[in-house]
Amino acid sequence: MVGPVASRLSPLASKAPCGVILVVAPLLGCESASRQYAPPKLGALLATPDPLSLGELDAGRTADGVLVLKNAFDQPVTVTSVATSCPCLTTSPPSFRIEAHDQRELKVTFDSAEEPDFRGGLSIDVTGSDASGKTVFRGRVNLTVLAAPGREDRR
Amino acid sequence: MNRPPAWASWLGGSLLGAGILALVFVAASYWFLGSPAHALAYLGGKRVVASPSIYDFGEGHIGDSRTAVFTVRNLGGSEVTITGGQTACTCIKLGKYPVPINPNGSVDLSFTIRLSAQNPSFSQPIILYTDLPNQPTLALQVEGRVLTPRPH
Repeated sequence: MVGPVASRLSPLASKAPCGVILVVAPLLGCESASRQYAPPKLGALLATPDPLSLGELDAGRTADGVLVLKNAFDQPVTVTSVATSCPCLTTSPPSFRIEAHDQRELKVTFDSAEEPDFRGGLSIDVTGSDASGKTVFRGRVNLTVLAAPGREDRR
Repeated sequence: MNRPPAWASWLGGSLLGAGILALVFVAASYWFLGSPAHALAYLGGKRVVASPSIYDFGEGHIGDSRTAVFTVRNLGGSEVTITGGQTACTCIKLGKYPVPINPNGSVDLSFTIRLSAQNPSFSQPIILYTDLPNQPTLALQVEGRVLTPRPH
């Protein structure tokens, strides 16, 4: 477990100079230092791949993928809810339990039917919580929506 | 009458000098780059900045639309192109790219936001991609509160 934890912390460590000198951060190109200082993505479960890429899609298409959630600890973890930053991405199952040192697949489905005019890149956050509301995993799903072939794109 | 000690004269002169320098910096910032914040960003190596960087639409009901307008300014002496964008939600329309920005020029970028029941506390990032090797992205943020659907 030490390996994944260390690798997840290392990007944070590389930004340490900006954090140490927050007062003069704007002068040093660290304007968004506080934004970059997102809390480390440590949870009870490790979501892989990170990010999950669904590639490029034509508008109106749907896409599926799988996030693998690994429980590297000695206690079972129960996920009671999974939230995403976009209504366009749904997950299944809605709740589940992962035994100690076990893993489980979380299916993610992208569907832009509600926003058919959307074009561009998406980086969607997927967050799982336990019964107390504590975040137990964070994942990310990336994809790009392109104009459908032969269709005049609207601005 | 006692004369002030030497250190007091030195301190007074230094403060006056620093004040004049600060005044010159602020005036030059407004004259050349539009604001001291832009000047600081320029000194930090940034060549494109957005104003505001965080757009707060206040409150809106589920199903409502809002338009967030960001002014993206090119602080440099050569053309910059916004090559694309990325959001965390299809509820934010990104518009059409590429968008060129003239040297020392600016463009207004509009994003249409459709409010959904996803999060009562709306906070979504927008990442713009540029063709600048030293500043490949520009981070924007849209925030606000989403209320229950408007009564009919």
